[in-house]
Amino acid sequence: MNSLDDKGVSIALGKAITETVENMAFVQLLEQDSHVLAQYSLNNNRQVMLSIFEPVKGKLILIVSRNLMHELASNIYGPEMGDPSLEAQDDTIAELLNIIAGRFMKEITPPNQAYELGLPVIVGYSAGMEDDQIVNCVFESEKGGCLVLFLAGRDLIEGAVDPNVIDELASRRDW
Amino acid sequence: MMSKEDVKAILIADDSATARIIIKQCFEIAGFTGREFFTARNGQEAWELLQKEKVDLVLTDLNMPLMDGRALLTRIKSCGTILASRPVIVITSTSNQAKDAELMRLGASAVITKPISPASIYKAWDVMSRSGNGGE
Repeated sequence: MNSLDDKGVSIALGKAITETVENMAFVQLLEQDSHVLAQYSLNNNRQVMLSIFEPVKGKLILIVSRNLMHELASNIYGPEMGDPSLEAQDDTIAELLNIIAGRFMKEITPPNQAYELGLPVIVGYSAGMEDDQIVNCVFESEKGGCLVLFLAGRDLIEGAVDPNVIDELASRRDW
Repeated sequence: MMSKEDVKAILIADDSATARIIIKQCFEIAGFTGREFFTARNGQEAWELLQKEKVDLVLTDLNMPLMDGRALLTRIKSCGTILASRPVIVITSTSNQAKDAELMRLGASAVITKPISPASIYKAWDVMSRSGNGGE
């Protein structure tokens, strides 16, 4: 269990994930406790990483189970496009992470704060896991798919971006 | 000012194939059916395509490899040809007040935050038509 789960950063991250996946792919995700991670063999699933460069440095790593990845891509591409290829599925989760990152940064930064994000890239499981400050969000879909998002970066997690925003997020847990 | 009917050809510049498909679908739902859609994976590809094809509306992401959306926007607006008068809508995941204002100063007609939807397109086109910034 991550001791930083109660921070507003975790709340903002979870909100960005559920809203993006629901709006784009019409899949409802239910948040789970971190300990359910042990039930999943994440090494066999696709992982995509996106770097945060400004105003603080960090990384987002999205891991999606194969069945959920297929469902997301199928919903977005639609039946007329046929069964989505693995390349299309990779591109789908990369774009999802891109949008999640944007929503997350917009939530935790002041309106006039510039921020810079990198391009999403498909990576291996070990990328970013060596950081000692990691927040993770774990979600399950109704069909049993799993989505995990790791956020690494001390300044981000400690609310250095805008402590007032982080505190305000932490104070409201009704979303 | 350009009306929806005047828009015959649309260029979508985004490094994500998924995003290009979603943008096209949303624009068709928003009333841009029967248009010719060109696509580009980055700003450089988009710029090269714009030299060859007549495009009435440019839709561009910001964060792209080789040439990003900001550079593409700047190049279009400073090219000195009729292309410079074409509306450019920026569709991006990294939108906030400061960034949107900067893009409008650079000549963007509108900024839409991802995930795009037909409703966000209607809203952007309405804003464009009210401000005389390319839409009608």
